[in-house]
Amino acid sequence: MSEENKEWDIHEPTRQSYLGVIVYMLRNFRALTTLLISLVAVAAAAPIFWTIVGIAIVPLMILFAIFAYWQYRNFTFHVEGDNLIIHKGVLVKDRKSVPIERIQSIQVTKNVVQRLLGVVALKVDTAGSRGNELEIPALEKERADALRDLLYAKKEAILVTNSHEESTETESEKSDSPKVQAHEEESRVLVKLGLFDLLKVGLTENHLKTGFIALAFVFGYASQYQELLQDYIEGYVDTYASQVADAGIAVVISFLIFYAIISVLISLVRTLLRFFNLKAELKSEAVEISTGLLQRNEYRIPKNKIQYIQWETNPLRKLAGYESATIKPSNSVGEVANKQAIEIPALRINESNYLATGVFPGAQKPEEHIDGDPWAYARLHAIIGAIIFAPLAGILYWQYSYPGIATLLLVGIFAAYGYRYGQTVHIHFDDKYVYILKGWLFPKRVIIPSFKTQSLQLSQNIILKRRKLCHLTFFTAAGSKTVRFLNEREALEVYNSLIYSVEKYEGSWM
Amino acid sequence: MEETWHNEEVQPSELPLVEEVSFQKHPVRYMTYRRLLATIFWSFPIIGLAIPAILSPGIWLAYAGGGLAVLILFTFISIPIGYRKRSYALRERDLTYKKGWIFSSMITIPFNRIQHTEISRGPIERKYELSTLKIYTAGGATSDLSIPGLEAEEAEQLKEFVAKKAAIYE
Repeated sequence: MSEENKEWDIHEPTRQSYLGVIVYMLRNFRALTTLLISLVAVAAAAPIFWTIVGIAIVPLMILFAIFAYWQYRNFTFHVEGDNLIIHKGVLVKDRKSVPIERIQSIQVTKNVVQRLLGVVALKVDTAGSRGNELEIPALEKERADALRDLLYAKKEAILVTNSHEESTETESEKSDSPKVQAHEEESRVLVKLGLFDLLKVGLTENHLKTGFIALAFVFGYASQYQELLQDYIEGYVDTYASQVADAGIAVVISFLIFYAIISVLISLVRTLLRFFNLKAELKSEAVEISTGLLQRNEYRIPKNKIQYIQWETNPLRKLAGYESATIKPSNSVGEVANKQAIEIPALRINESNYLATGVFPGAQKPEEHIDGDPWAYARLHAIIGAIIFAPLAGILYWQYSYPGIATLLLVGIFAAYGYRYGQTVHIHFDDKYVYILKGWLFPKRVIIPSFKTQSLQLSQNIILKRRKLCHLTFFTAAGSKTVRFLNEREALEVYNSLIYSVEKYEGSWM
Repeated sequence: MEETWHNEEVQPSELPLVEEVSFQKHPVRYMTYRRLLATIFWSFPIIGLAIPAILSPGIWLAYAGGGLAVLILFTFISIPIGYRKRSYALRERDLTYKKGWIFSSMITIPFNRIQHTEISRGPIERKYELSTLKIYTAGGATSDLSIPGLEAEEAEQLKEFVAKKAAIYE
């Protein structure tokens, strides 16, 4: 491997592993799956199409192979000066150039295909330039690691050079031996999840949520082929619809049971796929997480890129002694806030604390705090409850007379829940850290280093204004956090104090 | 870092308070500009209502027309009220913008968190010699601040000022 590396000059345009041809080919296939499925549907309706598809498939495959080969051939990458340059494209030639100092994070990932072929994908995320995320889809593992280390080292060198012009020489030496530097880094395993842990995590997922996601997925996917399916389905519906209507409540109950079982199953499978053999390590400069069963992802999040960490749990998971943490690094521009969040699904209390103090030095919940107004939360929940249950109560009253009114008790329960929730809303703050706590059944805890705040917003509507209440929004480079129903005067205290902390902070926030 | 910056201890009671800064109003013709915008906006539903009204007048016309009139009246009443609530303030190290009547908000962006600034002038804005100043932070689209209805010259100066400050404190 080392010999190979010596021959490989990063300043010369280089192709990826020749196995990239296969990766590209399968990718093109996947892109065409939708088309193929609709072809099959058409073919099923008119058998003559089978013949046509059968004949077309061979030249199509050859065409695919040639196209994939050209994709592979035209894809080269190299480092030119302080930029990573990628050439690619068959019909439209594309040259992408990313300043190395702008690189936010580099991920080495592999999916099933890449794993079978023994190659990995290298993904480079950048900040500040939309649509400039780079991916090298097929690299040998050693080359990918070497390239990653080299880019990190080069970035470090550039940043150091920018701040101290005189130390250029020693730093550029460093970039020649990046591997050494990477290995010297001190590391400590934060958490390792075994199969039993995963089982617990899977069983304590928020099943309601996974169920909804699954439903949305199924319906979303089905709706693509709605027109094609409609003809088939309508026939069945006509026959069975009347029977289904008769079955009534039994159908509803069995659907709910089915839904519950499916949700739990999906939770388990999802957990297993996403978090199989998860290992999180705390290094001196970064958090490294490797996770996944079929698609194995390795993340390296430099500590200074982490904008905030959010801990969440639910009653079941709490019972198992776990909470989950989401690490939020700064987004690339134009990226969805959640896309880059990295989750550790099961942490024990001491591991949570270790993560907090490991990433945010000296993090401790500040004494000074302000609280949400529980009555405001109760009012909001009562209104929501009334909107949901008042029409229901009306219908039931009309059907069953006075007992129907009892439904309105649910509004009271909603309000009580709101009050209890409101009691758990707190912002702890000082000039170093902001802790946002909220949630009763689903408690949430967010730690934001004060100086990472980008801007603050205080908002209220006319009713809140009269009650001297407001909402406070913290904007960070990894999305915003809003805390609702705070006393206006107290919120302004946090506002002023935090703005002051940001302005007096002299380091860079990135 | 700027040389004149001292970092003496500040007691919570002595913190610089954003609510006590003097806020700048927009030029009065910003209201005229908003009225023109509202007129253009509402002319579409009016035309949309007028065509069936001519073709088949009836009692429904009174309801629909009445509803539309209330909405239009509300829009034009809220323009001057909203105008009075809309103001910005500059401090040495940050910019604060307040707006909104029914839903009001105040946002403060420290200069050392500003990514870049931009001035835009739409065709109608140009007619009234107004400009919009846009300030971008890394906090995502929702935290990007856009200050409409500034005097063209004022916007230019403000942009210069903000850009200079952002460069100093970055």
